[in-house]
Amino acid sequence: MIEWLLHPAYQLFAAGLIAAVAGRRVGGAIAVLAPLIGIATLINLPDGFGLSAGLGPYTIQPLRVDRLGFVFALIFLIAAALSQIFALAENRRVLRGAGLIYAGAAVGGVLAGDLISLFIHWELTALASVMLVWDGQRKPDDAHLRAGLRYLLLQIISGLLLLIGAVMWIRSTGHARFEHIGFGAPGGLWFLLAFGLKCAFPLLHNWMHDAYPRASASGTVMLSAFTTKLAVYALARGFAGTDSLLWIGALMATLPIVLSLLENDLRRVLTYGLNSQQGFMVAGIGIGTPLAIDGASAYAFACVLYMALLFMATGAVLHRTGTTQASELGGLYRSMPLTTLFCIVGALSIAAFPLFSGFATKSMIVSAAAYEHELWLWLALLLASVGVLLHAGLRTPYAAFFGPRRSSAPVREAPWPMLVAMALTALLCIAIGVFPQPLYALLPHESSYKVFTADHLISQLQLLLFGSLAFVLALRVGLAPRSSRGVVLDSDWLYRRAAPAIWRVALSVWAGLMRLLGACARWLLRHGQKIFVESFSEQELGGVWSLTSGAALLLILLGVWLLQLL
Amino acid sequence: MTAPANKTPRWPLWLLIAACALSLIAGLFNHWHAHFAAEAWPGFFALIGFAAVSLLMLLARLFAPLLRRPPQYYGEESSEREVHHD
Repeated sequence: MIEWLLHPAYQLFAAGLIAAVAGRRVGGAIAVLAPLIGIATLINLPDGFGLSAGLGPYTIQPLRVDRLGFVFALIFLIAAALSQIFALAENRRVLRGAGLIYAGAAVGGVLAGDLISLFIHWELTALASVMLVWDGQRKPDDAHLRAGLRYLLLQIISGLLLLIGAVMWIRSTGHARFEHIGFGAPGGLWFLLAFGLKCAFPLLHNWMHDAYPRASASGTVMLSAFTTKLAVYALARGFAGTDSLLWIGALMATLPIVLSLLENDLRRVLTYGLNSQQGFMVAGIGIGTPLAIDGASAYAFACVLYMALLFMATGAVLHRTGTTQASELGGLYRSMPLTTLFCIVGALSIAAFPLFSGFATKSMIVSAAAYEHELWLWLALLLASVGVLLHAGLRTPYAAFFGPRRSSAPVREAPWPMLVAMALTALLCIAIGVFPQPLYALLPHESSYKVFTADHLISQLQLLLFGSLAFVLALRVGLAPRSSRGVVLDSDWLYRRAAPAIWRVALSVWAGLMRLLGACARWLLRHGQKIFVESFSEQELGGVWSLTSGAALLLILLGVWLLQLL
Repeated sequence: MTAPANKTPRWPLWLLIAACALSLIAGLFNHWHAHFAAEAWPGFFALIGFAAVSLLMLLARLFAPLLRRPPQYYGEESSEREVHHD
């Protein structure tokens, strides 16, 4: 029994339950230490280690350590530790309890060796993470609760799709192991939909933009790290080399960019940035070569860190100013210089500036697309690289920390736990960017990749510098899109506006039809009686014709009356 | 994103232009190992970078009236939170 405590996920579950009820000091200490103990445990588990149990006729394997699972479990544990340090500033039991259980569920998902364990952890991420969404407001109003429910509903649906796929897979193959699935396999489409919903495929993506910016400062940091990367892991394991992922990834990387430029809430802008980066990983998985899979894994690793850093910086702004609306911020570099610095490190990392983590990892995916001569995908990835430079690399730091100051209220630098967490995350972003080799050595296929070549450096610098030049010039001549408060329509419009409207129209059409039928019935009842009586009296209750016609008339009247009742 | 005040210093812009020029020159002297012919064209990535940002901002301006709605569109209150000065 004791060996089950070697499972890093179960360690986090236990710690989460204790931290949720413990006070500030003890709870905070447990919340920060538990992921570190998890890292120590994980590193010491030998490759190929597993824990299995019998479940009816099948074997389930809740712990399976292999290279792909290891990379994702490691970054999840690092992200859990960093986000818990950050969350010390907010001191919320929900952040400690649900945060640790959510992280544990994600770790359990990537270390799950079978589909049943994967399903359980998949749904547990949904249940734990919705607590973080709801916790965003101290006194959640109706709109906030409904937003959380929308998020939960879509996450649960993703789990149910996974369950359908798993049942079809197990029935047809006779085993429950989670390995390569592929599009044509039994249940393949269901798996792809389940993973795609959680990965935020185009049109399946909006739960993310709807829910993430509603959480607290620390809650959004946690949300950004786990759910979508768990889906990237599942795709990398189950659908490597699936051709349809190429165009899905290309669309995913490019479509969110324009919306992100219209959005005013900086945390929502960053969510679009995250969605676009997911597209790179999906495209890499679609290419499917060892370099591409390694690139997708490495980029997921880097993305967890720089997204966490960017959400920490905007979270610190939220903590100190009460808003992340671009139209109300600006000029904060004077009062929050350290947060500004960390935000710039995050911005340079997501924009893939050389010597920062995005460059060392994203280049692998772009190179893999070039090696396979996927011209359109390669061009889409270039466009998306410029796009992310624009909204996450330039616009977010500019809107929050530079530009004109919109408010005269005094603002203090972020509290120390937030600064410590941001400093550590920023250090990791730079360390990966300058010394990527240790990360490369952890990747599933151990690709040997040279990132600092003249080709990579010059092409990326031209792309970023000239992109920045266009942005600066557009600012100077006033051509850049203006920030203003408001809602940007996205695919959630389909289920928040279009579907209810269609439902209302259908309902009123149906009601109108029923009223019309009712009117017909009343007319027939009033006048039909006369016809009925007349037909009988004229024929003196005799004759076959009158009897049948009378019965038919009765039947029709009965039918109409019944219809009206419905 | 509004235009900055007139007092914005000019040196960052000149620094950026100088860096752009340097990257262009470096590209001219580089021996490209191109997988696509376009990669070796002089200033190809510079053009993509500049054109893509311009295109995206143009698209954003075009789509703004179509996709932007007032804050109360979904009948929700604003997302303001309490401020912590501790």
